[in-house]
Amino acid sequence: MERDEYGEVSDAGLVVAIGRFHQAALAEAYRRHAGATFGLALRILVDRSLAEEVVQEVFLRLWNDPEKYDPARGSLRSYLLAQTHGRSVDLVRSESSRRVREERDARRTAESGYDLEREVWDLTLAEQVRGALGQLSDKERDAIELAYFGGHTYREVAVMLDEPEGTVKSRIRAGLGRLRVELVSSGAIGSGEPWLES
Amino acid sequence: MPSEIEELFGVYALDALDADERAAVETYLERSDAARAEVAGLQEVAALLGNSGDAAPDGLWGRIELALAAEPPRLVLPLDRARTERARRRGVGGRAALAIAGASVAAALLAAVVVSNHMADQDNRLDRVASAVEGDGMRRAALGAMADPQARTVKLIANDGAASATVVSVPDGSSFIMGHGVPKLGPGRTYQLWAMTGAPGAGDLVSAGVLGRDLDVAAFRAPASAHGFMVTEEAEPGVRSPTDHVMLSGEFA
Repeated sequence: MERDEYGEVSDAGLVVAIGRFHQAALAEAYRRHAGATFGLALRILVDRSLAEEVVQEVFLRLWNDPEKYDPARGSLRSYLLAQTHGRSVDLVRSESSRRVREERDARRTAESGYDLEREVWDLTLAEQVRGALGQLSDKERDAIELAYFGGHTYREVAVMLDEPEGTVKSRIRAGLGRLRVELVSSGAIGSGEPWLES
Repeated sequence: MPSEIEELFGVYALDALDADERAAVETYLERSDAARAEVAGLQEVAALLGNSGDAAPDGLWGRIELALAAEPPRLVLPLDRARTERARRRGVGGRAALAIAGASVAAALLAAVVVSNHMADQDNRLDRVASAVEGDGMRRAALGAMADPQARTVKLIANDGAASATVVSVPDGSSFIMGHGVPKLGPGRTYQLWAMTGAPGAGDLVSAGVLGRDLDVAAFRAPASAHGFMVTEEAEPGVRSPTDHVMLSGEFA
């Protein structure tokens, strides 16, 4: 992969260069963010080959439609991860991927399920994120994990946790807000406007 | 007490709500800077949750490169049709004796169409990227470029010192100009940006873009040889050389 040419260019600059068909700029965006996107896709889909397909699709989409990234709405990484999440969830939710979900659920059950899932999560998250997550209540963590990594809507999460929908959405918002405070105080993310920190 | 729509910000950041509620949140976000800031912050947290810190699998980039090679940029169909129609009309009068020459011309035309379409597609694509970063997004993109350690910046200052502009240029030529206190021009007038090229003092100027009546923030591509910039006020947009007075100027240190 070429990287020297764009190694020091900002993410916004990379997107402009991608708009000019500079493949080296896409390679640099991949170098910076592919690990994160693959990690998220694998977390949601479990299946490595499906996760690789999602990552490939996300970066090809960035190549074909760079203007869809709006710097005003967040960092490039947030954008790519949102794309990854959306595509992965689509796969999980789609009829054709029902088998994937069933296999994954069966594997969870067979391998003592939820705790193992959390253990894997804990192992793969950065230390600062783990520390911040430790500040949340179990109910907040459960709601966030089922919604984000399980690909469920908050209404589905409410049914799964046997909680009112309003309680679940409040917990998720409050939990994410507290995570942000923790991550800012630990230095994992800056305290300014996130779109200026990409 | 948060409103019902604000309570959805968390699940919106996690992409865990229904389409109708998503649309309602997005409508609300369009109207509220504070709401956009909160959601952007929550999405940033979600991004960190998804980051396992692992590398992507070996070979995945190679597959993406192959896909890029297999999927050339999309062609612009209206241009395709127009150019193909011209080529077809030229070919109607052909005779057998001209068949071989005609085939060569057709091949050359086809090559020209492909190249032209590629250029037109690139122009369209640049327009789309530019429009995507208009307004606040454009200013943030400019600020992002300023944070680039390899970016060069130069201050353009008016003779009376009452107005100025900052130009930031990154190594690939992507550049932005941000005006500070530059007065809005009246109808029929426009600002035009010029890059100073060639040897310093030689006075070689290349137009870098028409800036319009209101110089706020604009993106442009700077020539690699630019050692400074100048903004003039013009009566006609896109003149080939400066015809009116210089509003701002400055050179890289």
